Formats: sequence, C-alpha cells, structure tokens
Amino acid sequence: MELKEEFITRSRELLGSDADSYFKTIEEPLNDSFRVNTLKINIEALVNRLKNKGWELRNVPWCKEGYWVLNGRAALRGKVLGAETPERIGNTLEHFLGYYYVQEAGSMIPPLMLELKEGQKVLDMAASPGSKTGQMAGIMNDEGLIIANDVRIDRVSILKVNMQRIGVRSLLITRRNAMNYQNMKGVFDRILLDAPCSGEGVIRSNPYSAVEWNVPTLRKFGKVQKGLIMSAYEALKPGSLMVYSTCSLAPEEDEEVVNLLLDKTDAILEPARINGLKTRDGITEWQGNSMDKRLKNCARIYPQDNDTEGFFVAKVRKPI
Amino acid sequence: MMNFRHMTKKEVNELQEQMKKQFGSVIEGTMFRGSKDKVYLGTEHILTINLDKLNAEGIGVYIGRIEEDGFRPSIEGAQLIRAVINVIEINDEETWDWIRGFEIKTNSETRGYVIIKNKEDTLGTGKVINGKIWNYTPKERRIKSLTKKLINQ
Repeated sequence: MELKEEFITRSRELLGSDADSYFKTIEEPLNDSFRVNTLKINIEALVNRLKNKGWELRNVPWCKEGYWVLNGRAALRGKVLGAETPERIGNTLEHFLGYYYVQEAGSMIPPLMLELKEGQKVLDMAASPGSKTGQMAGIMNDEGLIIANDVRIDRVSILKVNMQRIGVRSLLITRRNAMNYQNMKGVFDRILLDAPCSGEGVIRSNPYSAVEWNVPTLRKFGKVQKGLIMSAYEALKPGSLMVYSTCSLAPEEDEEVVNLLLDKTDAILEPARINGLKTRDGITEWQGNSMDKRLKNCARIYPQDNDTEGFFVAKVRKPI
Repeated sequence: MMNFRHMTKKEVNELQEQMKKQFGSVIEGTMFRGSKDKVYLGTEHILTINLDKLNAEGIGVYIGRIEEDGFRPSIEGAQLIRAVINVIEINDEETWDWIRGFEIKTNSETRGYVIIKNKEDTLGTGKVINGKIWNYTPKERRIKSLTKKLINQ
C-alpha cells in the first residue's frame, strides 16, 4: 500500500517512534468480526453453534458480544481461494437469521461508552448502516426508543434492511439533515454522534481511503462535524451523555471538533475509557495550536494497540 | 416519508385472532400499521413521539402484511409468532435453497401460508401451492452464493 508523504509526516508527528508499528499494522488484513445479536439468540448458544461448524473464535476483550473469526475468509486475503475456503461471513444461515451482525471490533466501542439503560430515549444521528444502532438496542434489551437517522436515502434503505434483520422494536428511522435535531432541545437521554468522516482510520480494511486521503478533505469534514456536534449538544437532556466518535485519527476531525464544543458550551468531558481496551489520550496541541487540556480525556484508538481499525471517541456530559 | 399509525385495540385483536387461526399463537405488543397493509411491532415509548412531525421512514420491526387470504408474517414475524400449526420442517439441503430464495417441493397436505423451519431455526413464511412452497424471502435478505453447500459446513 502506498501512503502519501503528508500522511506519513502527520502520523509521525502524532505517534513519534510508534508510527512504524502503525504503518506495519495497517498493511495487515483485519480478521472478520461480528457481534452476537442478543435480541434473537444468547451468546453461548451461537458461539457453540459456530464452533461446531469449525469457526475459530476469539472474544473481543471490551465487548462480551463481540468475536473475531480467526479462520474466516478475511484471514485468507491474498491467498488462492478453493473448495475448502470458508463461506463469507455475511453468507451464512446464522447471518440470514439475524443471529449475528458483521461488525468491526473497533466500531463496538462507542455504544459501550454511553452507559445505556432500558427505557431511555436515544438519538443515533448518523446511524447507517446501523451496527451501533443494533448494538445499542441489544444493550437496552430493546426497551425504550432509538431514533436512528441518516440523511441519504440509499443509506436509510441499508439501515432499514439491517435493523429488520436484527429485529429491533424500539426503533424509529428518520431521514433528515441531522442538524435539524437541534430543534428537539433537551429531549434525548443519550446521543451517539458517530460522525461522517474521511475514513482515515479504516485504511486497513479499505486501502482505497489511503488513495483518496488529503488534508482539504479532513478540513471539509471537520467543518461539518463541528456543526453536528453543536446540534447534538442542543438536543441532549441536561445531566445526560453524548458520545462523539469518528473512524478517523485526524485531529481536524477529532480533538479540534470537541475543542469547539468545550469552548462554546459548558460541556464536561468524561474519560472515554472501557475495560479491556488500550487507548491513548487525546492530544492538546496540533501543528502549533494549543487546545483545551481536558481533551486528554478523549480516546485515540490505534490499529496496532487492539488489532482494530483506527477510532476516536469523546464522552461528553451536559451538566444539570 | 412513510405513514404509520398506532393500531387500535380492536384492530390488534382482529389481527391476533387471525394469527391464532393460522398459526395457533399470536404476537403481543404495540403495533403500527403502515402503507400496503404492513404491520410493525414497536414499543410504548414510540408513542411519546409525534410521528407526523418527525417524518419517520421506518418504525419498529416489520412483522407481516395483511393479505386478502390471511396474515403473511415476515421472517421476523415468523420468528416472533412461535407457530404451533401450519409449520413445515425442511432439511439442510432444502434450507440452503430456501435462504437463496428458491421455492421447494413439498408433500404437505397443508394449504396457504406456512411457517418454514429447519430444526430450531425459523426461516420465514411460504405459501403452499400445487405441491410447492412459494418463497417469500425478500431479495435483499437472500444469500447471494452460487455454491451448493450443505448448511452445516
């Protein structure tokens, strides 16, 4: 994979001597992973069933419903496929039945930081394809209400199909510009803003994002994300939690966005940490500009630390 | 934007009577009716939101459609209803055909809508017509594999 010079320079600025390990990891294939859909089957029953079919599974340390498939098709990247090649993870009877959802292990992180409970009113502002929506419904035992929004009709269609397969009852799907949710002031107990982003962190599974990568795109997304985070904060009930996440490691899409929220509001930034997950602190300075010191509470999740994609998570509370 | 409305108690009772007649059991819960007589299962919490104002595109889980000749459960509806009558059990090889969207042959005397099962798994709904089970698996749910594999491999 050919990485652009500017990408390499920036990564070295962020990671120092650890950058080489980062560059090495993003060249390696990611194992298939999935999350057991506890709305339809219990974890033990599905795991036993898949193991009986010959799947080698490893539990994702931070998510009890999450598993990597060590001998899945993804692990065979670059090898010749033949009669003994395992079926694609999305082409099995268990997937057809909705017993599991194909989900990258890193993407299981944001819902776990939301401290979800049954009966809450939750907004998933940029929900499609719905992996985190379904996960949140599972954590809430499908009791409460999740409004899953996306702005594009094609993405809403995908969201509908996926949520149907998962079998989520506590769901409303909307197609709106997420900025409009600022009009529902103080309504939501929890908000997930898994913001549209450049995808800088998913180079490992989508090498094409390395080809498309450029700094103006990061800045363009940063501008959109700043609008979205301010709208989300408006819609959040006082005393409640919001998680801001991206699959990008670019400070323009991460700390700089959260920095604006801290600067303009009374938001409290709680430590974004969960058991079993190695995280690195958010940065407080980027390319000569100082930012709020509280940004250390954000989590930078690098591929080499947990064998995932790259992710960024911030956990925000609105004071009462 | 799609239109959904909360079903009245009377409508839900009528639907549940139909379910009972066809499958010997019912689905309980808060139900909504959308376009083309589709029925959705939601939660009480959904009622706290003004649906018209929100322009909802989807609601809860689609459990089936009220047809002229009865209630036709979706895959999730079939799983939720836990049918005790009009159930046809198919083998592993037939299951692989079923989830790819093919119709399958049957010797069953049953007529009309049937719930299709493979061991403990509920695969969806079919309709028995002239010795065949018509497959209602929606296109977007069908397995897109050309390989003929046994289901347990």
